[in-house]
Amino acid sequence: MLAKNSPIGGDMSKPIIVVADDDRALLDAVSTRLTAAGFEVHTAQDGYMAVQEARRVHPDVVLLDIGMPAGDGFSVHDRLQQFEGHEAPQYVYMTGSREGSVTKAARAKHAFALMHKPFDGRELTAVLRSAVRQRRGKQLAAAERERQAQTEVDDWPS
Amino acid sequence: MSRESDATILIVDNDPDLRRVISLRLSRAGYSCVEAGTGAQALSEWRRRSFDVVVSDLNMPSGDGIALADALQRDEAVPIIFITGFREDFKRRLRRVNNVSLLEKPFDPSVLIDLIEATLVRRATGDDGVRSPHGADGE
Repeated sequence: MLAKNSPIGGDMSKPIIVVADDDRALLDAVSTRLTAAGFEVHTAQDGYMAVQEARRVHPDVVLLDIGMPAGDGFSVHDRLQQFEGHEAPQYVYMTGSREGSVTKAARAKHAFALMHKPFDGRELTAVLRSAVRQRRGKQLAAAERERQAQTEVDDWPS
Repeated sequence: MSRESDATILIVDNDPDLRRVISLRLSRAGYSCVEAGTGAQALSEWRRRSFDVVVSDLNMPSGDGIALADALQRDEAVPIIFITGFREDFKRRLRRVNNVSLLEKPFDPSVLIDLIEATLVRRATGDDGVRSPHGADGE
């Protein structure tokens, strides 16, 4: 399905985001904001449901609270390692902590961004747009590499 | 630490959304921000007016940040804060660039603001000498 007004610009399919946070109010606020901005949003209130949703919808970005019941944000990331290479979603973490150790842990996971609560809705949508753009850029590059490899195979004298 | 609130910052990133995020954060902290999407735009802005600090993505498709640093620092040791996801790759090459700091992605925006403040203080006290790139977050 193509979205005419994709939030990442151009005529691309609607970006899919899985948002997980045990704070229901924050989850609703983020979901409303992102839906209005043109994202397809799927929500989860714990780590277990976040993994289920991500496996089901294959999101562009997983937006994870770090401290959640039934699997914190980092363990959700670990459990989604089945998505390899360019199929892997981008990970954006949310935290109320200012500890440097949290930043280091997010870095070790190669997170795209770390959002410190409370954050501005405009900031969040900008970060997610950028994460989606980067993931789709990687996918396009991978598809082009595959196409070139296939062309080389086809051109090989039989 | 008191803020050098009238400081002007040039933000360079090819990604318009990331540029906007940094600009929003720094404007909220009281800085005056100008955005540039390429190294060429950054140079053009730099020639038009003076900036206290340049905050730039290190790895841009239109030419990496080190080329930008070379061009900016032709006449004076402009303080530059590079943001990068590939710190190790650039560390060796950055040794020859003066007055530069590195901030690894993802980062806490308050750390970027602390780094800007430290840079402004260094500049105000005339300590603009050769400096090895260092990481933020107390690493």
